Formats: sequence, structure tokens, C-alpha cells
Amino acid sequence: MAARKSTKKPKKPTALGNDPFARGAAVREAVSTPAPDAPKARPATPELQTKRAAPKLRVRTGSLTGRPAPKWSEPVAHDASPSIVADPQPHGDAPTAQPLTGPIAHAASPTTVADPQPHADAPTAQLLTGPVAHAASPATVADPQPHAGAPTAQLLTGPVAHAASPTTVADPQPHAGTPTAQLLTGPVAHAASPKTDAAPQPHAANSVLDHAASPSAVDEARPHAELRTAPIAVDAPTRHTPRAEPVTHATAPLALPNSAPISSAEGVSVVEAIKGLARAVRSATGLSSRTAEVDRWGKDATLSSSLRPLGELLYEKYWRVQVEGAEHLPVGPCIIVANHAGALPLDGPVLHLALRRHRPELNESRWLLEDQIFHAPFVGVLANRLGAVRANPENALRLLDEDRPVVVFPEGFHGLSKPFSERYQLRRFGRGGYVKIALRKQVPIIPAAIIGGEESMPLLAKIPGGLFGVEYLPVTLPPLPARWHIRFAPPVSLVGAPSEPEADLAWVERTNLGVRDQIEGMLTHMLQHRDRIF
Amino acid sequence: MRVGVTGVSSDLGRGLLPRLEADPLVDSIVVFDVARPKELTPKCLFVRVDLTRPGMEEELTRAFREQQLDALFHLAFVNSRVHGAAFAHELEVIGSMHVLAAAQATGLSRLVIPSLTALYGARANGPALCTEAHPLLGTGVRFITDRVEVEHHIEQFAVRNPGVQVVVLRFAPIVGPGADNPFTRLLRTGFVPTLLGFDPVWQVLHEDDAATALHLALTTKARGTFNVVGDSTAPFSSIVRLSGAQSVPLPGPLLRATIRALETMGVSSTPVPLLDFLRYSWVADGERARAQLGFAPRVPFHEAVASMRERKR
Repeated sequence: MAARKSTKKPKKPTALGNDPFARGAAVREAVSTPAPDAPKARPATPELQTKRAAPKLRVRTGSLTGRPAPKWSEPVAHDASPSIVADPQPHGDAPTAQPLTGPIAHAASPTTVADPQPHADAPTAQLLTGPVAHAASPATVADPQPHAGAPTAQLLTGPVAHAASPTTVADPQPHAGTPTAQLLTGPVAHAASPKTDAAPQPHAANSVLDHAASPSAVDEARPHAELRTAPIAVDAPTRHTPRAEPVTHATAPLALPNSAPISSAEGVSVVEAIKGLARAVRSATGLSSRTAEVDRWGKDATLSSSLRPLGELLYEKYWRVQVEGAEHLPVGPCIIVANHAGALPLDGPVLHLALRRHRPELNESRWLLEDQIFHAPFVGVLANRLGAVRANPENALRLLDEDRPVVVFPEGFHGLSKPFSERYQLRRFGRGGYVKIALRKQVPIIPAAIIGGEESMPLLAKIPGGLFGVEYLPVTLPPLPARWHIRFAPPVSLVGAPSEPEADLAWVERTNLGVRDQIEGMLTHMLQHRDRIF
Repeated sequence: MRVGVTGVSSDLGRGLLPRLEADPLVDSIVVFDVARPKELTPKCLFVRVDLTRPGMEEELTRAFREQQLDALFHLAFVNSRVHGAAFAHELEVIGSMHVLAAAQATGLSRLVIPSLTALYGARANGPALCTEAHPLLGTGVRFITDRVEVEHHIEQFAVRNPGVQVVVLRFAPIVGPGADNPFTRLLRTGFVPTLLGFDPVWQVLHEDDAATALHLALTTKARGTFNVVGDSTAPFSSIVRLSGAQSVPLPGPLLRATIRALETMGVSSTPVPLLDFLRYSWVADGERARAQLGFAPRVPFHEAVASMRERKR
């Protein structure tokens, strides 16, 4: 059904990006043939890999043939601020490897770049370029010798600036049969992928970065090159299990050295998670919770901390949340504007966890939810205990007064109630109340795009729920292990803002639309470049 | 200072009277009531009035003049069980109008009136913390709609009579061994029906703190409305549990049907809209009282709720 839909709307074929739900199985099979002899030695199923390759090819050709770059990339990509921005615009179809243009001055420190996976039998060219970053020289890049006969160039460039840190860049994920360049770019990575015979499109990527202090990169990657920016690459050798797919754990620059929480989460977490869950159930049913007091917003700190192991487990292992651009968040109050997705609002807690991890120095964030959630039994209480606040201007102003990042979902309930077939299609952005509040409080607006929520909890059907005082009862699945990806954009420019929001309502409306467009652009781009959903 | 008090037998009045008695600033306490209350103290002077009687304002005006009141605590509101809603309405709304008319006629300098934070109503999209500026949206049940009406009269009165220092104290649900209001009666039954899947955030106020706030209003320079709330917020289920009662979560549809059935049979008069208070959080912001009235709750939350276990004194 979904496939039919996508063909019906030729105007938006790429809106959902690389989405197997919206693609015919036939197409996938047809293109998956080019790499039939993926070596069995690869632990992760080669089948999956090859299947993955197919849609990728289609999307790429699609985008190379002149799909305009999303609007958002223009202002963002060339922004002076160090942001991780992947430019979806194709850069030339030159069949030669592109010389690198990035600064190569940070060569001094030797970073450990390790690829724990033996690639000897891989049809993949694996290029490990050291911090000296001579990847820039096309000669090196073009040389696929280490892994002979590879149709794929695999580039791992280490985070040059992070030599002091004991982190390593690892690529435990097998890329057998992927006829694409796989790029793990460090903060100062300059990688150009060689043109190989098997690769149908030229791959190249430019990574430009100023320096280590702001360890983020403005990356211009071909739609081809799978770009994973990992300023502090996460994958410690401990995580290198055959089944793990840690490549998704590329983290934002200010990430905690999160190998510790991960390992602890692995060990103790299951019991703790169950305990936390039991607590949550008690709270949600309105049976007396163990904790007597909650804060004035309704958040139960004890419940939150007992649910944390479960949350971390889900975040890390299950949803494998990838966060970009967390450095855009200012210290102090701000309004984070995000798209809303999924049958149940998981995006609030996930975003909350992301902020906790990537910007631990910020005050605890709270997110605003529309009243429909609070009409619903169980869900409303649970959301409230975990940190959701009823959406209204007074609450927003007060939360900002507490110097917190405030997450708003301007789509509101409409964002949650859209069927799965319309996933990631933004609804109207409310009435722009958040713009007015940002103006009144003089706080920055940070647009954020979240993908993964729709596939984690797809809204399959709605059952009339009048009996329970809700509009409908969502029919969904237990949270699925879709990969999440969160991207924060730099603060929205408030140039030309009226001193009083009421003085120029048109400006408020324009800004609201602009933020919506920007989030839409980010979503489109992220979906296009999403390489797998689960 | 000569202080008038109506409704001295209410739980608020019983808490306030000993404080006025002990206050050296207060020379005498003029008690207005229909019958001689048994709580009278040495400073008390009893004046018989019936606030529900038509034409009462003349009598009240005369009494106010004779007694040369400096301040009046108008506490004659029905918190206890009443048999007739009509009587309660007469006493609360019409009685208050009489008091206001008399206060205007005599140029009373200070008028203190208690109210409820429940008047803000409990709504899904309400603010987490209601300030005094929040509109009074409570509906659905007589003892709330009547008090909303009273507050509107008071507001108009305060605008028209800037010479009278009007202090309105909106109290959070009052608990304590002596407290007698619908909420404490519910807790004392031992079993409190709640809505399954809902656990709103509430706040409570100990009766001693309520009396302290009333007493503060006698000397404060501030005027206007103040939320008087306890020091903490808690889920309703916790309040029930800590007060020694057992919460009985019932599915909303079942509970609503039961209430309607009981209402139809005339057994109970608890209206369904009251369930909103068990469904949505309603918490008021006590900051203004803290800053301007100098009120800080002395009884901590746990003690306040646990005091419900004590026997009624």
C-alpha cells in the first residue's frame, strides 16, 4: 500500500528517503544482484547488506539527477558556526576522486584509527588514513590495494584533533557488498573516495573543519558517501561484537566518554530496567507511587532515575540514537522546536536523554505536550512524571525563567495522529506561539529534526476512544528497534525581529514557517541519507 | 484594633480565633453569627446576625458602625456538609453581598475573605502553576461556582472601593485534624475512589498554616489576592496513602456511571465534573503570598498530610 502511495505521488518520491516501506520489493531484489557473492565470513548478514545497497542506488541516482538541495542546507552549510552539516547537493559527477580541500594542518598527533574487523576477504577497499591526513593526496586514496578487488572504498579517517583522547575510530560494521563509499570522517577528516570500477557513482566527500576546539565538521558529502561524523568516535573495542552496529553511534562532539555508561548499562541494567518499569506502571495507573513528592511540574525525580537504566539501554542499544549538532544549543534557556512523530510521544523522552548525554552541563530540559495527551489515561501521567509539561504559554515562560531548554512540538497532537503512511510529513506548526515566547524572553530557537520515531511506534489504526475520554486509541506495535537520528540546527536568526511579538504578527508567522521549512529540509535530507531503518 | 469575624465556627474561624485572642494588637473580637458559638473567648463580643435574611445589609451596616470595626474577617462559607444547596447559596453568595454592601456603607478599612485554589479549575491545558491572575474557570459543582461568583463580587467591590483594603486568600485543600471540607471528609472515609490511569499533582495546606495566613492578612500592607499553598506538590495517590486512606482506582467510565447512578437515585450529590480534580493537575503558585504577605508554610508536607491520621480534636 505504501509503495502504491509513493508511486502515486511522483512529486515527493524522496520525501521518505530510503524507506523500504515505500518501495517495491521487486526493485530491491533487482538491484541486489550485482553483489551476489558477498563473503560469508562477514558476520553481519550479507543479505541485508546487499538489500540495503539497492535502494541506496536508486536514491542516489535520483538525487544526482538534479533534485534541488533542500533549502535548509544553504544557510546552514555555509554558516560560519561549526556545524555538522552534510550537504545533500551532489558535487559533480566527475569520475575521478576529488582532491581534498580541507585544512590538513592538524597532522601532528597520531590518532589511533583501528578497524578491528579483518577485511582481508572483503570486497571492500578499506582505507585507513591516519591523522596526517594525507588522504588528501588522490594517490593514496585511489589505491585500493590493502583489500584487493574491492568494489567499494572504505575510508576511515581518524579524528585528528583528538589524538590525546583514547578513543578510537572503529568500524566494526561489515560493509560487504556495499557498492558505496563508506566514510567515517573525523573532525578533521578529509576523505576522498577513489573511484572504483564497481561503484556506479563517483564518491567523494569533503570534510572541512576549522580545528579541534570546535570538533564539529561542515561536511559536504556526496549523496553517495555515507557520512558519519564522529568527532569523538564512540566505538570502543568493547562494543565490537559481530552483531553490533555501532556505526550509528556517531556522537556529537561534546559527548561524554560514554563507554562507561554503556558497559554499566549492559551489566546491571536488566534488573534495574524491570524495576524502573514496574515503578512506571505503578505511577501510570495512579496506584500510589513510592515517592511522595513530585516537583511542581509533576516530574518524579525518583521515577526518572529508576527508569534511567532502561532509558539508557533503549537509547543506546535498541534505538541507537545518533545525535548531530548538539553544540548548537546555547548555555541557558532556549526553545528547541522539533517534529512530532509516532503513535505515542516517545520523542520527548528520547530528546531529553540526548540532551542529557550530549550537553550534560545544561539544565534539565522539559518538553511541552498538548492537552490531548493529558486526557489519556496512563500515558498522560507517565509523560508528566518523566518531565512532560502541559503546553501553554505560561508554562513555557516559566520553564524558560528556570533557564531550561524547552522542547516544543508545534505540530501538536496532529503530529502524533497522522497515519504511518504520512510519516514525517509535517503538519501545520501551530500558531507560532513559540516564536512569540522566544521573542518575549529573548531566547534562541533551535530547530531539530528527529527521525526514527515514526518507525518505532507506527500508528497503524485508530479505534474510537470516547469511552476513555480520548479522541482515539492508537493501534501500534510495542516500540520497534528503529534507529533514531536527531539533528539540531544552529539557532534561527532573529534579525529583523520586532521588539514586541504582537507588533509584527507577520514576522512571527514568517519565522514560524521558516522554522518549519528548515525542519522539513533536515528531515528530507536525513531520510534520504538514512541507510537503514532498523 | 477591633476585629469583626463572621463564621467563627467554621474550621478557619476556629483556627483564627485563638490567634486573634493572643494578638496584643487586637482589643476586641466582634463575632457575627446566627447563634452564640461555643468557641467564644474573653475578647469576644457576640452580635446576632443572620446573613441569609433579606434586607440584612442595613442591620449589618448598623452593627459595623456601632462596633467601629477596623477589619472584618468574612469566613461564613459553607465547607461542612449541607443539606440544602439553596441554603448554602444564600449564605455564601447573598450573605457575601450583604457583607460587601455594609462594608461599603461604613467605609470599613480592611476586609479579609478566604477562597479556594480549586476555583482555577483543573484542566488538561492549564498552567502547571496558577498565578493569581489566572481566570477562575472552576465549574460543575455548587461549592465552586458559588465561590467563583463571590470572588467576582469581591473583585468589583475592590475596584470600586479603593479605600477598603481587600485581601482574598485562596487556600489549597486544607488538611489537618480539625479541617472539615469535602476533601478531608473523603479522606476520612478511608477509601478514596480515584481514576485509574490518572494521578494528578495536588498540593495541600495544613490548617495551622491557613490560620497563620489569615492572621497575617490582619496587619499586612499588601492587598489583593494571594494563593496560600503548602510547601510541596505531590501526586494525589501519595496524599491519599500518607493520610492513612486507601485509594481505589476505578476505570473512568465505571466511576462516571456509578456517580451518575447514585445521583439519579438521590443517594449522592457528587457531580461528575468534580472528577476533573482527580484527573488533571491543579497547582497554584504561592510566590506572591510568600513575597508580599510574608507567608511561609511552617508545617512540612509530610506532617500536614500525616496529621489527617490524628483524631479530630
